[in-house]
Amino acid sequence: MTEKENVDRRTWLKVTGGAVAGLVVGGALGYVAKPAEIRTVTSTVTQTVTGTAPPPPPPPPPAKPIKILGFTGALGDALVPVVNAFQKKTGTTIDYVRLGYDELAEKGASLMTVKDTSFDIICQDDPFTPKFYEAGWFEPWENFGWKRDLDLFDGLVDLGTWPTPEYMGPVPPGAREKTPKQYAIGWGGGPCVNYAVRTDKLQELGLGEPKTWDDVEEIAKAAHNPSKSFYGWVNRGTKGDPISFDTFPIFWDYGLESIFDKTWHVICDRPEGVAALEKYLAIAKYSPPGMVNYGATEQGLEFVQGRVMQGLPVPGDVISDVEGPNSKSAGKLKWMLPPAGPARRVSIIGLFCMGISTYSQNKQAAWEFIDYFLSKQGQTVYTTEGKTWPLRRSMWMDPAFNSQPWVKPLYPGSVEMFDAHPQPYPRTTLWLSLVNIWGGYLNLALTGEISAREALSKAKVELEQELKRAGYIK
Amino acid sequence: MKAERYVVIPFIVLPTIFLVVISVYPLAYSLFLSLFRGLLDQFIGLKNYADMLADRRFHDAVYVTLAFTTITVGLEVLLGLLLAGSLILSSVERKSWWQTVYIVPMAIPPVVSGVIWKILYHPSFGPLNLLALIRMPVPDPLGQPSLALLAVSLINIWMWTPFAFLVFYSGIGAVRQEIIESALIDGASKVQIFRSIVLPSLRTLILVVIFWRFTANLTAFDEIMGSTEGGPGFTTTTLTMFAYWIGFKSWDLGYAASAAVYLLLVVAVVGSSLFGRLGIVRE
Repeated sequence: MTEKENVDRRTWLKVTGGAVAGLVVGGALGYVAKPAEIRTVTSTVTQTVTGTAPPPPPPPPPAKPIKILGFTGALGDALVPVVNAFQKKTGTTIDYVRLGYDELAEKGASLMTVKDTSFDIICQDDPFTPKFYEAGWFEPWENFGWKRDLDLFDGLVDLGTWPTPEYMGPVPPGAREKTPKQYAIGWGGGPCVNYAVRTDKLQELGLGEPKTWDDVEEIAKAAHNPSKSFYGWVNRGTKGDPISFDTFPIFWDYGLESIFDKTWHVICDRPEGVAALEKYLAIAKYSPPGMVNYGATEQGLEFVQGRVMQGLPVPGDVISDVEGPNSKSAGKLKWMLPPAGPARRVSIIGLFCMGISTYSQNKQAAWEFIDYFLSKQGQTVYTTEGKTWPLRRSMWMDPAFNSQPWVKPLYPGSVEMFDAHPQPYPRTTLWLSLVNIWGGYLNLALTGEISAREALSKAKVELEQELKRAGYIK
Repeated sequence: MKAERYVVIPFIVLPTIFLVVISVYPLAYSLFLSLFRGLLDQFIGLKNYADMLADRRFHDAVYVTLAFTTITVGLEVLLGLLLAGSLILSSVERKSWWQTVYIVPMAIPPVVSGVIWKILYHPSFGPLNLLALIRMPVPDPLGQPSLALLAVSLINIWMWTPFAFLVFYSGIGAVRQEIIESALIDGASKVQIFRSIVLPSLRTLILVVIFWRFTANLTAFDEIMGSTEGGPGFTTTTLTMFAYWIGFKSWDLGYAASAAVYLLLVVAVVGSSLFGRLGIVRE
């Protein structure tokens, strides 16, 4: 090709510019023409063409399907019988889409950001829900006639209230003046951190059930025998969420109301906070090697192999294995509310929550499903066929139910836990950033690299920096 | 002639559109996003960039990222060279079998490699526990802050040395056999041949591998997430992990985007420097 035959810069720019502009205009038109509008146009055209003879009355339209965004695993599986029962009862089709933990969190928020209308019910782990409440991504249940049902545990209901009640910790600055509304309910998972101890070993050692964290330390010391691969204590030590979740009750029990005060100033380095962390580290001295990187799987495995005396397992994560037929700890554990500190005795609650998408085109049907799920009938299906714990107190108290093998180990410990008003993670859209700092320093203290006091001081500096950046404090 | 002239246009226009859609648009959107708080919640100009420079977590993440990248790239290139040189110059039989063995780690998904090594490093459930049988202290490589970065680097080295090996092995294969044979006849040892003939001929390939691994390891994520999740403490939290936590856990995508832009700057500076050495950007 000669020099003359080459495409000159101007021609190239013209053609490329034209193509890009065409793409942009095409894309914009596609964006503007929403699917709903296209459907309306199609329907109008059809009526005009067939309008010469009076058409027969159309059959009643089938109930619009409900689409649920939920989570995978045994916890998510428990909802399947409820979905089936509701479909059978009402004839409404339900599409129950399930995703893994991280994918669910990302998908949930990204769907809401683009105002997606395809999902009617969205499930999210509770630390993500303040974002949903604050951004208006969930529909208030008051719009459907929701009335608080006293048979449902307070903690489960309060987890879906925004702004949250005062006992659940400080409320973010933008939400303080809002009227509390119900947006969701806690249901799948945890329900909480429970303390579990080997009663057979307690008898061998001549020790009683612990009442305080000092007793826990004493038991850990007495039982710890690394030469026989038996350890006095276990919890999830991985940085971030796992260690934060498992250790919060100790901080509360030692008198720290939260790691923030009511105006979000960081108070974790107060003497009660230091005392709590020092106590935890004293107990953790009797843990198996490598606990710094333990998650739920490793913790559960220690119980299954019968290598630990006591710990803080989250029942929903591990009970089917820990109390399963292959576990050396099965039938030997006492599950109970974590022991007391000098100030109080409380556990932490952490659950998936279920709410109705603001952008749903089928909100009433979605509400009817939730209403059925929370009813006595729905809960019976959920717990008996889904092999899980109920949200209703009356069912827990029913001897015919609480003697069932999948709930027996958790009764009455879980009821005591709910009655003690368990607290959730701090309710803020920032928490998942803050927990990385908080849980990072707890983890570093667990390695022995820094002292309890140093960990809390350093955490305070970085937590404050993050809170200032977000405008929570000045 | 005029019609022929326009034949080339689709070949230029289509890749340009592809580049704009795949590369330029996401980059421009990231820059746009970095000017906002949260998920386009509030326009704050360059505040994210200023805040990032004052953020101690960012400083730590930069340090970890650079240390991780330096250790891994250095050792991957060195080991890749040694493996390729020793295999090609040795008289071992079934070389293709050895090649296959060497590249197996590269075929394992990084996050799976992270989990595999988490088990291998585990002081109770992994093979390190065997040390207890001979009454030696059992280390906890992923649980000790002083060892964790090195342990995580080793996972990356295990995964990606095969890539360096593969490139260098092909490069050495392209060296003219007569030159090597002449050197052997002249009495040169294998080490001398490697140092004086093979290594100089691989100069460009070495720079390509350094560039490729450097940019890839600056953004390493899966194997760290699978093994330590950035811990203990923050000792293995790289810039990518830092951005992930901010972006996809707390949904401050603006702040995460500004971290990504800083990372891009580092890659651009290092990349252009290496490309300059390669002569690729020379006019």
